[in-house]
Amino acid sequence: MTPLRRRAALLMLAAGLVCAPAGGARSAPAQDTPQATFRSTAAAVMVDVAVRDRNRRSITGLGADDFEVFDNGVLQTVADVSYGRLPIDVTVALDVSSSVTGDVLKRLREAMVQLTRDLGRGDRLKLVLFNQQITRTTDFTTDVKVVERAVREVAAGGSTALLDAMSVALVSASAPDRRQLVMVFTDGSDSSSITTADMLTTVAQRTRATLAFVVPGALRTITTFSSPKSVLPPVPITQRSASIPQNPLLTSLAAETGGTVIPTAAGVDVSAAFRRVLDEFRSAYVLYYTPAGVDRAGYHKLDVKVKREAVTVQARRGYFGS
Amino acid sequence: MTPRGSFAAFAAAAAATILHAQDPPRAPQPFRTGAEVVFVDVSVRDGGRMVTGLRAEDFELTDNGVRQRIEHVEATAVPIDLTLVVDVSGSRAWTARTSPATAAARLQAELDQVLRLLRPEDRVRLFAADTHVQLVLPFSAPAPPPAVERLEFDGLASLYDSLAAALLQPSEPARRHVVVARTKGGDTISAVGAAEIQGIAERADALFHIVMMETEFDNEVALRGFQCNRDLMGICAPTRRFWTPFQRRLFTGGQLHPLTADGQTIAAAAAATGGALHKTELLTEPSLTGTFRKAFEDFRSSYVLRYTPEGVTRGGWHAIDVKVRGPRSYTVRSRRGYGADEPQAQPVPRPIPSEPRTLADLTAAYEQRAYPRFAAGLRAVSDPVRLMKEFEAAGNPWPAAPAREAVLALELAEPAIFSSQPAARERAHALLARFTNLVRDPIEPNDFERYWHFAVLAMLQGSLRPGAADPFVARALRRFPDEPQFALARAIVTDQLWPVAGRTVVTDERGSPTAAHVRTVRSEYEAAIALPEVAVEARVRFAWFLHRIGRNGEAVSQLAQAARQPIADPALRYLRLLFLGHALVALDQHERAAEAYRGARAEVPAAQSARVALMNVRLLQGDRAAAEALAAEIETSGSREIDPWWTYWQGQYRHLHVALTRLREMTR
Repeated sequence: MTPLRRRAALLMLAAGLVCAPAGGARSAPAQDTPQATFRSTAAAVMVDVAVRDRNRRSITGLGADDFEVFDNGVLQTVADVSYGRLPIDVTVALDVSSSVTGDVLKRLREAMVQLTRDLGRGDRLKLVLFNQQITRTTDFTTDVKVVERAVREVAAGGSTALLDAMSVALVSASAPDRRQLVMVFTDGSDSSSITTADMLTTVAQRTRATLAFVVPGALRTITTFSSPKSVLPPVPITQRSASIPQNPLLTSLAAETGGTVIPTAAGVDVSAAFRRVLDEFRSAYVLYYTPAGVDRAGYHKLDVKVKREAVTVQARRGYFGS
Repeated sequence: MTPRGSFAAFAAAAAATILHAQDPPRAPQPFRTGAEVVFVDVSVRDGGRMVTGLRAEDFELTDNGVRQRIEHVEATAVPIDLTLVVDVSGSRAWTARTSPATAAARLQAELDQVLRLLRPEDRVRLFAADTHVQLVLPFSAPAPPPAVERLEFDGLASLYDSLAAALLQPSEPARRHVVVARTKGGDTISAVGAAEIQGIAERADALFHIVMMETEFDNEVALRGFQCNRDLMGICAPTRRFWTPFQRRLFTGGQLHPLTADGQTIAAAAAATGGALHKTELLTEPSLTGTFRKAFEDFRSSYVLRYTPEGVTRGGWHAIDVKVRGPRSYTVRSRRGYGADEPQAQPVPRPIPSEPRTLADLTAAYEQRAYPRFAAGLRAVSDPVRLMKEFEAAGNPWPAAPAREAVLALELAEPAIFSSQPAARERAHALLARFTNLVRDPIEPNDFERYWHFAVLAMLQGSLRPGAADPFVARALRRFPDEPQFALARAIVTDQLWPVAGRTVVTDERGSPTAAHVRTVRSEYEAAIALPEVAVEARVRFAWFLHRIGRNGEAVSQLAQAARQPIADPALRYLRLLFLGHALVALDQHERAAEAYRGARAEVPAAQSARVALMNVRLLQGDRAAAEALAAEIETSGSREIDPWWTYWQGQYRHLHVALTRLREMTR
């Protein structure tokens, strides 16, 4: 770790954000690909940036001089760049409301085990389940058996507090010396959250993690209630989201945090979607700079450019300075 | 306690203990001549003087000829429930000459005379017999004098139905029931006949007097064999009389006002209760007051003998004979007997599986009060439509208890109400609509019907289908326009339209509620706020609506006003503070918001929503450490407690369990 990087890590108090880069640049549409990781503190800012070519393949070998970072419109000096060196914390938030049953649940269990196996050295995984209630089943771990045991007991039922779950996951993804990815498996419907869309956007701007969504296409239209089989009361509706992938809230949150929305068709391999999110997040540059010429407090709009032709750059839209 | 008062108390109790049943209500005592103990009213006269001071040993009582041991004699004056039945049916000539207002005024004058005879603890009720049985005046205390506000006539005669309605009134313990009916002696449209009235009278615990009234106006009717009604598509029905009218006697000669066979049956019915039939004089109208005064004096000064029948079989008619040891000049009057049902052999209960699936098993579980298993079975129902079809085809499992069938129907409809299949929901709504009509008391709305509506509305609010709930709310309010819970239901169901029905119904192209919808919600919540019983909940809900449309200052004001009185319901206390926090966040008053959220947490410590809200506002305040600590708390809480917020949009659904428990108790 360079002195600058070490100092930045020490100063990072929990105001960072994470985005996943598009490692293999496979077939995902450009707007769906998370690419930048970002962290900010009073003194230093660390931002994740994914750079891809026309074919959506990651471009490697870039140095600090290849980037231009504008903080509230003011060009900053990029002090350092790293690639693939910081460990990753992956928080997986699974919607286990009554809509997720049968085969989907089975595929989810398999996908979780595979995702744990796909973690890199030093990476960790945390599993949070939510229906109307938010429950951490497994704290950050690298132990596949722990995850296997946790997902084996997953049962679906109840209503959905999606926005609450995302807010909690964003706030709790805070370890300052690690990149933070929050991967949400959801159909985009919400029926029980007290958190509003506006509040969640604010939370996303003030926290570090990158939000990525894996959306099961077969589960788009959950609009009503569980059958009385649920031990919980029937589902109240508090907010409605449009169908995926046009869900404006999920798209907006992904863009705000530099994340992605990956819709999956019915019967598709959920494992592949999870792996893609992780790979894309892993293959991003981390830029370090100390803001100059701007006020520290308030919202900082970010704009990252690369001095090359025909590349796509993806980074979060901004951060809150403290 | 009035029905409205008792219902409000129920709602408050339900709110305080959402998932706990109330104590069962005191069971009415329908027939005091029960299986074990018989009560007999006895009056003893010596000439025109009531004989007082008699003791048990002074009486001799036989039951079907077998002498019985009198266990107790009570001579204290117990409160009396007096039911007056006045026949206002009759000829078109009479009705043409008499306006309802005039008839009501005349009846009021008579009633006022009767009221003067009553004591403060007595009560009076007034039926009018016409095409329909009209309850002109429900049981009321004599003071302040109740008023005859409305009287309708110009119809056929439902005399026997009116008598049945009067006699079937269950006697309350420690009260005695007197029925005084004045009739023109004709019946055209009743569902029951004289024989049924006799059977009812013999089993009723009421003293029954009937007064024959004959006026000049009715003689023309008496001479015709049919009565007709213009309002009922000109329906004409044969007149059943129980005495021969005066003018007919002029033609035929013979005894004055001779009783027909029906008349003799009615006379026997009155005599069986210890009452009598009082004949009319020549075209005169015997006064209610005079008849009642005579009956009342006897009844009020009578003794109540208690004995347990011995040496006689239980079922069938029991002839009673009461004598008093003493001077032969004593005149003893008592009911002549009573009818008792044969003891029924108890059938072997059907075994109930742990998770009953079939209608038969579910019904058995319900009948045996195995409600947890009944509920488990309902949850496992995979084809709710089939269940309802089977239920409707099978008919009432308890033919003598239609109200119980109605409650079972309501419970069986629940899986379909919450079904995602439109056909299932439609069938369930139709079933509820049918039973909503069936549970109507033909005389007056009663407490059972009130609870029925409440349970139906709670269930439909829980299903979050305001379109389906709307007609049920309207029906409930038509029957109980003053019921505060129904006024609140009105507002809640309308409020549900925005989040549930969405933009196609009450929102504009931007997704905001239309001005018309805002006006409607406001007026309905304000109507509920005006009712003290539901004012707090109405304010809390209205405040949340105001917050959602961006009127946060007004929302804060409503929530502050809601807190000016003690809030018994912890869920409401929680929601008030939760919503206050949200309104304050919208007003950028973060510290005050945090304080409100902390208050909500204190009310329901395990609830998740207040923690999440507090976490969010802490982050806004820049207190990341506090926010992260709260996030960790939320993730690891593991509480199974229901967060009041999770059921907020389901309105009064949180009361359903209590409402159903109450209905079950009322129909046992």
